Amino acid sequence: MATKTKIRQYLDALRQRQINFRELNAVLRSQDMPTATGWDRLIPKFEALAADVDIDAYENVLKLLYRNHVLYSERAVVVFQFPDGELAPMLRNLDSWVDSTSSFAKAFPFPVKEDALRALPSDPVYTMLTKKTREIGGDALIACSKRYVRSREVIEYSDFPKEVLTALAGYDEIVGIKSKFVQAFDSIIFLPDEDRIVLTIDLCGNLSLQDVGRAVLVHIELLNERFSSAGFKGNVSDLRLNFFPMISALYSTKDGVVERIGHVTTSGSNKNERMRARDSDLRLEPYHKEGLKAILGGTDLFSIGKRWDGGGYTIGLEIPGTHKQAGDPDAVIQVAIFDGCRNGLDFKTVLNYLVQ
Amino acid sequence: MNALTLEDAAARITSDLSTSPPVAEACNRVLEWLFNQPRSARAHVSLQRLGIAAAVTDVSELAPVIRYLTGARVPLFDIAYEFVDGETIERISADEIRDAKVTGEFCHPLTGEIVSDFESKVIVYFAVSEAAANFGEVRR
Repeated sequence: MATKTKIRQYLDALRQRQINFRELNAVLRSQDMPTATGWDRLIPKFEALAADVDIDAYENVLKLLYRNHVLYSERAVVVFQFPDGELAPMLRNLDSWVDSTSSFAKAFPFPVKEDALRALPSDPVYTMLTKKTREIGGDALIACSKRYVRSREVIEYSDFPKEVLTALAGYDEIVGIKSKFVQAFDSIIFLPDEDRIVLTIDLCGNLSLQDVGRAVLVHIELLNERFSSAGFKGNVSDLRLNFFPMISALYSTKDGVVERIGHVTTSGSNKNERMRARDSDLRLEPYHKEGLKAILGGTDLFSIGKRWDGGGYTIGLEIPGTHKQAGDPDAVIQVAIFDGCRNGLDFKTVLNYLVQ
Repeated sequence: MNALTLEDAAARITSDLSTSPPVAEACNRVLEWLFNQPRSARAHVSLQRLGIAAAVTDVSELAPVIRYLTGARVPLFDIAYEFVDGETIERISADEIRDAKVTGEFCHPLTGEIVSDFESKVIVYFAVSEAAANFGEVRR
C-alpha cells in the first residue's frame, strides 16, 4: 500500500540525485501527475494530493523513474571485452557477490542518510543484483559507495555581515567551495553472450574525469580479485575498449546530431565547437562547414558529443579527449559519457552506437 | 502567419514610422541585413548584432527598433531566452521569464532549484520568426 510518505521518499531521492527537472516534469505531465517549475513548488503539490488520487499508480511512476535514474541516467561508461567464452564461467555465483547486510543494502533503493554515509568506508559494496534486465539483456550488479564531491557555489553578498562586505569591496563575485559526501550507485552489467562487461559510474555530484578514472580503478581492483579467485589469469584493466577511433566514425556517420567536437586544424588552431541548442547539428552549421572547406577538411578530431532522438527527448554520448591526443594514432580514451537515457532501452541504444 | 516579403515589410515601415524617420531608417537597415543573411545564420542574433545591423549604438535608440520588428506589423524576429550557467545552456520560454518576474523566483531548468540573481544568468537574443523564415529566399 503506497503512502504519501513513500511518495515523498522517492521525490527526495530524485531531488538528491539532481534528476533533470525538465525530464521529470515531462514524465509527470505524460502521466497526468502534478508538475511545477521547481522542487519547492512541486513537493507541496504532492503533499496536498486529494484523497481520491491513485497513490499506488503515482508511486509506481516515481519508483520506475527513480530506478531508471539510478541505473541509466548520467553515467561514465567503460567496456571490457573478454576473450571468447572466458567470461561466462566466472559469473556462476554472482548472487554470492552481494552483501545484503550492508547499510547500503538495508536502505536500498534509497540512499543512506548523509550522516550515516559519512561513517561508511569509500570502497564500493555490491548491493543488489538485478537478474537479466529486460532491456539490457544481462545481469546488472549495483555497487553503492560513498563519494566525496566538491562544488563551487556563489555566495550572496547579502549573506555577509557589514564588516566582511567592507573587506570584500572590489570583488564582483565571491565563490565558496562546498564538499560533501554523496551516495553513488555504480553498476556492472554482465553480457556473457557478448563476452563483455559494461561498467557504469554514477556521475552524481558532477564528477570530474579524474574522479571517474579513480572510481574505475577501484572497480577494476575488485573485479580482478573476484575473477582471479575464479581462475581468470588476465588483468581486467587490459580488456578495456578504446573509444578514440570511434570519434571519427561517429562524426562521419550521418545519423543523429553532432552537438560538439574538439579538433586541431592543419592551420594551427585548437577548436572546441559546440551548438547552443542540443538538437542542432554542428556538421550543418555554415561556420563549421565553410571552415572545413577552407582547410580542405584538414583537421584531427579529439573529442565528440553526439545525440539521437529518444522519442520526444534526446539521448547523448560524449567521448572526451584532449587536444594532445589529436592526430595520435596510438591515442586511447577508455571512458565515454552517456546522458539523457531514461531507461535501459535508451542506454542499450547509446551503447550500440559506441560499441559497434 | 503569412510569409513576409521584403517589399511588404519595407512598405509597412515607411507607412507606420513616417513620424519617426531615425527608427524607420534603422528598421530598414536591419531589414536589408536580414535579407542578405544566409538562412542558416539567423537562429541566434544577439542584441549587439542587431545594433550593428541597425547602425545604432545606444540601447535607448535600439529599443523602438526591437519593439517594431518583434511586433505584429513587421514580425521579423521572435524574442528568445537562454539560461546560461557554466556549461549549461538551456532555452527558456517567455512564460518562464514572465512567471519569474511576477514571483521573483526562477528555478534552474535542470536542477529545479531556485537560482538567486537569475537575471544575470538569462540572456536575451533574437531568432528569425516563422513569418520571416523564408525571407530573402525568393529574391535569390
